[in-house]
Amino acid sequence: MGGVVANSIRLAAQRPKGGTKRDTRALVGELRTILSRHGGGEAQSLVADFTIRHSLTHRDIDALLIALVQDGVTDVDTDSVNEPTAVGSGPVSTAVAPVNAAGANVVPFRESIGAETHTVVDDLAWMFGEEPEFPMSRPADDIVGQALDDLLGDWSRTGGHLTRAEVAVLATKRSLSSTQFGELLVLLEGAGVDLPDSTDPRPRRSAPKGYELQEDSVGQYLHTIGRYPLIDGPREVELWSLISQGHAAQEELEAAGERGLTPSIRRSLQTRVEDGRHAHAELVCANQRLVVSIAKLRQYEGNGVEFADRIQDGNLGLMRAADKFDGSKGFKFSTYATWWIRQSIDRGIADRGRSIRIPVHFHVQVQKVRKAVRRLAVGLDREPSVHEIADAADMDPGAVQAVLDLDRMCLSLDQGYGDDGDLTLSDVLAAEEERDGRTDPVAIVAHTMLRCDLQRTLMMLLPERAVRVIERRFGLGTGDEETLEAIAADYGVTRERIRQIQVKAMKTLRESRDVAVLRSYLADDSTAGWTTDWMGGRAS
Amino acid sequence: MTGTVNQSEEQACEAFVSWLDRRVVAAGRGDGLDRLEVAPSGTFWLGRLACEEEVRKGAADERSERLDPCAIGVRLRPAATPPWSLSVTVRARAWVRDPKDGLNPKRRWWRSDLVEEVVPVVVEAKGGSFGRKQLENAFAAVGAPGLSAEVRVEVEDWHRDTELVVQLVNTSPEKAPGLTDSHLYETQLEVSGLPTAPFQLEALPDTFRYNREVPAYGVNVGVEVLPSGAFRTSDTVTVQTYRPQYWNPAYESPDLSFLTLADKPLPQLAALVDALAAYDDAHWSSAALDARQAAYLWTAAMRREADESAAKVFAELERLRAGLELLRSRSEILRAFQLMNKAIARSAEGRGYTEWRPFQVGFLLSAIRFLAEPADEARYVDTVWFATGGGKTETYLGLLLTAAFFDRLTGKTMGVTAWSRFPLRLLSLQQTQRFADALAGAEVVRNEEEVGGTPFSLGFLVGKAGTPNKIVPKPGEDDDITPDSPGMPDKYRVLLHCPFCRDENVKMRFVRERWKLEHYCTNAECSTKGRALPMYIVDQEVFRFLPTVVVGTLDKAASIGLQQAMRGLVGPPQKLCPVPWHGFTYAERSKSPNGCLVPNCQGGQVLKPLPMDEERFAPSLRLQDELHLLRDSLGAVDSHYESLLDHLQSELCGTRAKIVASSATLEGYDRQIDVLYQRYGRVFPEPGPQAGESFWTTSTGHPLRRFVAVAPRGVTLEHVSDRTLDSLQRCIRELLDDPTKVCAEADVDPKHAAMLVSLYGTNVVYGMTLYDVEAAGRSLGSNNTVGGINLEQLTGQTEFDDVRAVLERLEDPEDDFGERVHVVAASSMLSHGVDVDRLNTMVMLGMPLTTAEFIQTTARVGRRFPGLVYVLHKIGRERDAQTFRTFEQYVRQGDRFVDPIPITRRSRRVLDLTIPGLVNARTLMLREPASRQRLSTPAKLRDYVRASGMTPAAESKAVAEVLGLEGSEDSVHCEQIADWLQDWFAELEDPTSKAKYVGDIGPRSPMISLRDVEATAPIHD
Repeated sequence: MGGVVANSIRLAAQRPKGGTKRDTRALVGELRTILSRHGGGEAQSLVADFTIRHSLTHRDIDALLIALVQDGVTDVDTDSVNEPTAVGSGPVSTAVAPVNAAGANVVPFRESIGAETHTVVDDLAWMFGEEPEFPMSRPADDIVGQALDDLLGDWSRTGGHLTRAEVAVLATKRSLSSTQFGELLVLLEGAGVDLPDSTDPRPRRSAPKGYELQEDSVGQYLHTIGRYPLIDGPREVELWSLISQGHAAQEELEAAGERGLTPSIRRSLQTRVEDGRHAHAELVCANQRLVVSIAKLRQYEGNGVEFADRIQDGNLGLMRAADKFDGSKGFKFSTYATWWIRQSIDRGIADRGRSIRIPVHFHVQVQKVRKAVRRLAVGLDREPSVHEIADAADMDPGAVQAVLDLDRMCLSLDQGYGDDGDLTLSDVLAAEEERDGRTDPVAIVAHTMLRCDLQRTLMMLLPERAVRVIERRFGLGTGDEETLEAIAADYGVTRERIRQIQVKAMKTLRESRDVAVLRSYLADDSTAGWTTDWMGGRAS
Repeated sequence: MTGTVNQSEEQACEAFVSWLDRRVVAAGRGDGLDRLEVAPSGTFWLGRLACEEEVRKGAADERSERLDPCAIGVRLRPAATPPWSLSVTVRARAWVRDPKDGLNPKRRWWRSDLVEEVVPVVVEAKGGSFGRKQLENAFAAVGAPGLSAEVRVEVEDWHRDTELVVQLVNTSPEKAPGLTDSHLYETQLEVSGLPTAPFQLEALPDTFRYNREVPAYGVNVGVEVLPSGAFRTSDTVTVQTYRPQYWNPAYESPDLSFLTLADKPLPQLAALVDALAAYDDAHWSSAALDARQAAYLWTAAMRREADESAAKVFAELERLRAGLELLRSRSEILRAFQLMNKAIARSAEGRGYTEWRPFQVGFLLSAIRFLAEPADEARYVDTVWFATGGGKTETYLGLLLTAAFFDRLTGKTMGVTAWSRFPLRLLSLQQTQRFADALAGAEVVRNEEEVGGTPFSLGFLVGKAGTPNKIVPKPGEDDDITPDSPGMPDKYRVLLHCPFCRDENVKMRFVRERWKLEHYCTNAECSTKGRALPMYIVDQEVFRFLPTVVVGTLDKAASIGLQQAMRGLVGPPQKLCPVPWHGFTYAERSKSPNGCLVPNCQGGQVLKPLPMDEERFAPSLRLQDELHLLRDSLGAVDSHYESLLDHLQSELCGTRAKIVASSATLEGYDRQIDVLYQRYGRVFPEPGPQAGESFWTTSTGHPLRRFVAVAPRGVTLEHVSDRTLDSLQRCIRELLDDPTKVCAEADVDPKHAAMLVSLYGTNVVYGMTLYDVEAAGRSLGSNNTVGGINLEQLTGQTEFDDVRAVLERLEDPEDDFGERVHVVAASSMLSHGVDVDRLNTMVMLGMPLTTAEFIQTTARVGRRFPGLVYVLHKIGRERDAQTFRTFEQYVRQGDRFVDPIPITRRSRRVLDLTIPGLVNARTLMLREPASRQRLSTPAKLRDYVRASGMTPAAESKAVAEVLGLEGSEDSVHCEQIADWLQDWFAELEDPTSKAKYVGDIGPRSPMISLRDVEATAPIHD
């Protein structure tokens, strides 16, 4: 590695650094001259040129600007002293430009600033083959050194725009090991390259004011994720590289345990792990909208998992996809993630889509049988038999039956039962002590039905007062038979009047055909008999 | 048997080639075999005759008869009147199959003894049949009863002169008891005792240069004239050509070595010119022509033709004299010429040649005037017409380097001196390498002599399939190339070796800081010391650095209508980027905000002015290789683009580039040049007074190529090709296994064995179509008796780096013969500029469609050593049959068979295709720089058009002027241009237009490739 370090140091020396190593004062002076002599756009481009000439990084410029402001007042004198020399050197520099036919036409700012050692000949030296010797290339196996050269090249070409993500991409593409990547980072740092963290998992747009108040939680969520910017393919590769570098760093950290690493290496690894997490977050956040678009597909509706829950399931899949994505394959992340998201939503439905959880593998069989039933029902125009289903689904008939049994609908205990809805399933199926003394659900149901039918028949055939009278006389619903006397007292009529009403009502009932429905209750008292009769009725 | 003592390499090769040919013919005929396990009629393709009954019964047309003929014969023109008496010797054999329980049940076919019968013939004007009984008895005597044949003489007198056709016809019954094969084998016919007169070759016009006499024609065979005056049929037609020498030994040869010319060129050049003057005087003066007219009985027309040629020859002499005078009077031209010689000497070091061929110097002298009088000389296109393999490329290079040095000496310190274009994919890596070598030599000389200016460099401007158009930092669209794309950067290596030190370890690297894809030499001794070699292969780098010489494909001219940075090849770039190594800048675009083509350039908006006079940026030379290929639609399209290039250069720099071309055909070249370039054509050298001889070349006794015409009988062409290759390979392996025996057999000194294995161990099989080539490759794999034949393909489909790898293997073969390439299956890709001395045997599948292709292709073998070419005729085709009949003349007078180039610039369909490019190029190259703003979007262009007052009428007039469509016969074309521009202006003003870039405006976009001519089939509507 010694060669690499030496090389990078030499490279660093080739690129004059601003700030610390240079005479900041001279730079400040030059910058001030530019700013004071030119205005607006021209000054801007001149400053840009100035930055290039001295290979200044943004940090350097910041430092220079601070310096400029700080000694702006005090240094005016020295500055003006410098100027004449600067102007004086101008003509000299043009005079030594023999090749340049347009020598008189040298860019103006050079004459005004001057202090530079650059002459026109120097500037064009590269064209005339007088550039310094190119360093001998590195051996083919020095991949870290090569990566360093390339990155330094990018860094200086782009004027210092090099992000950690770009470094990670290069390292991943060249299959650098975690250790080599670490070396590379050290070398870059040694060469004075400052790598900003470019990952940003935070939303780019701020939320509109008061938006929380207007929508439900799903709407709010959709609004929130809409604020994360989408990313393009190259960015995905960058993030993937950061993530995989983070994984590698994590592994290295875990392998080393508590001891065995110098603090600086440990810190470097931790930074990479952190970068990886950030990148992971950014990749996930940028793709949340993909999850929504998948979760709202029709095929997932009515499967027992709410939209918001499906999104949540999908997000879990998305995170997993972000972990496992391989950016070197050249596919878009969304292509890959879609499968994980769908898998995750499907798994969520299988797990939680029904009140009684069945294992996922069984869920798959249920789906299979359902599909067969649907297809057969359409084809046959009737419900298919178990055997037909078994043939179609290529399953054992027994297994099909088991699936059908399992696949029956779950009912709520509070679900209304019977026509009036006052009987709930829990009344029938709940614990014994809560059932009103009767043990047999069939009896309970039969009794309830009797009561309903009786009530309806009475209400249908009789005026309301007669119904009340009959109910009270025979204790219907209460089991408490009342005397004519008592009833008459309530209505404030004579006892006889009540009796007449009763007689008339009974007559009406006896003569009415509608009472026939109730006759079945009379015919059968016992459960067994009732059942037999029912069976017999069905048979005939 | 001649002794093999002191046998030279060439003699050894010659003897070996004859032996190879004997072996192949023997394999085709079945010589020397006693028994066979398969039917001979499915195996042999030479010397066999089907029976007449079978041929008649089949489809009785001439075509099928040629495919499996029942007769061979000789067509003669008797000198006397009937009756004619002649003696006919018939030779033949039969193959007979034993019954199943015969002597050798595995190999049941056996060959009979030779039947050799002399049949005396006396024939009247009606003709007749002879010797049937005699031959029947003879066949029965050798054990093949049932076979019969006869000598048939037909008299044809509908020609001007009476002709006799003497044939041997197989009259055996198709099926007869006891007859197992009705074919006759190893047939031969010999006619003697008849005085004859020669035929006049009617296929070619009479001209003073050529001898058209043909003693006799063969029918389904070739004819040899024996020393006794008898005519004997031969199964193949063999034509031996001889190596030319590039000087006429009648004159004392001047010293034209590079070093002499670099030192004191004038005396030698004067001697050369004087010798030419003497020769011209001796051969072309009226007195000389008078004498020859009398001797050869020229007609008046022939004499007129000769006089015209003489005038051209003397004009050529004048040009040479003028060139010499310029060298005398203009010191900078002399200096450039000397430096060029020094550079060529350097680049030729260790290559085995140290001097020019006289005609090369002659051409340089005749062309050099363009340096002194560029405007006047630009009116002419100088076409180089040398025999292939004559050193055309070196001649180009001499001219290029002279021009490059001259530019440097006269203040053109940078920029493109020459743009050299090759048609389609014919620019070979080897040719590119030669350019690079020459430029490297020039660069060394430039440094030594302190000539100044930027280093000489080479640009390689080919399509996307070869090298990248640009390299981008991040992959965007699918086919963008990034520094980390697969195969980068090694995939794009173009140079085969370092042009400075010849070391083969040239590597590639991509330097991100400079954004350059570089070749560099890893040899520690190399003078480049690891710096980038002066070679630019990415299009954008070519634009950024404007190398001295750009070589590229013709196609790239289409970019002029699409790519604004192409301006650097016709005129000045805009500015220079202040950042070192970023190079020249062009128009601003969103991706290059300051016009610098380096991504993320930090150079800022203040760019440097051009360090040289703008007008000197235009190239002084345009080279066009293989001019004859610019024909049909490609030629028409190119003619428009050539006009466009001229127009742009003249608008930008006020100059016109000199055009130098090379062509394989002279037929109608002046018209072609007029159509393509709108200039006058001039050719160098003028052909000599007789075919195959001129001042510049004379024939020698050294063998060049042996052409063997084969008309396969009864089997497929593929079978013949497979068997031929198989025999050739078998021969080489025998030589390897048992050198002593083979050398004795072939009459070769055994010390040459290793050389012969290397020179003849690799065969080329050449197909006209991709289909043929692939089929040949496939069937060889399954239809051979020799195992382990390694086959490689070289076609237009072959990937760039595969081509390079194959060429490297051919140039520098593996030590173990078994690992070498044994067969190269190639298409027309091979026929231009592939120069491998080891390729000396070729099998051609059918005659190429053009004679030019035939000449070009066969020139690939026998470049330094005697070559052997089998031309398998697709004998069913009329054209191949015709060529077979006059094969000798075809080979020897091939140039005269070349068709004139079909080309026009007045195609309305082509005009439709080229207008968009023309208009767009004018926008990008002329209007945009002049307007000092971006005109990249329709909106900006609209504003500009409104402000500048451009009108459809003015623009269409300008376009018509560019194309030279101004005559009264061009009114339709002008109308077409006007209509197109009306639409263009309408769309420009149309707010609903979908055009995103200026190139999208108008009914059609600029052509992407000059080959986009064929209409695409519409899928809908």
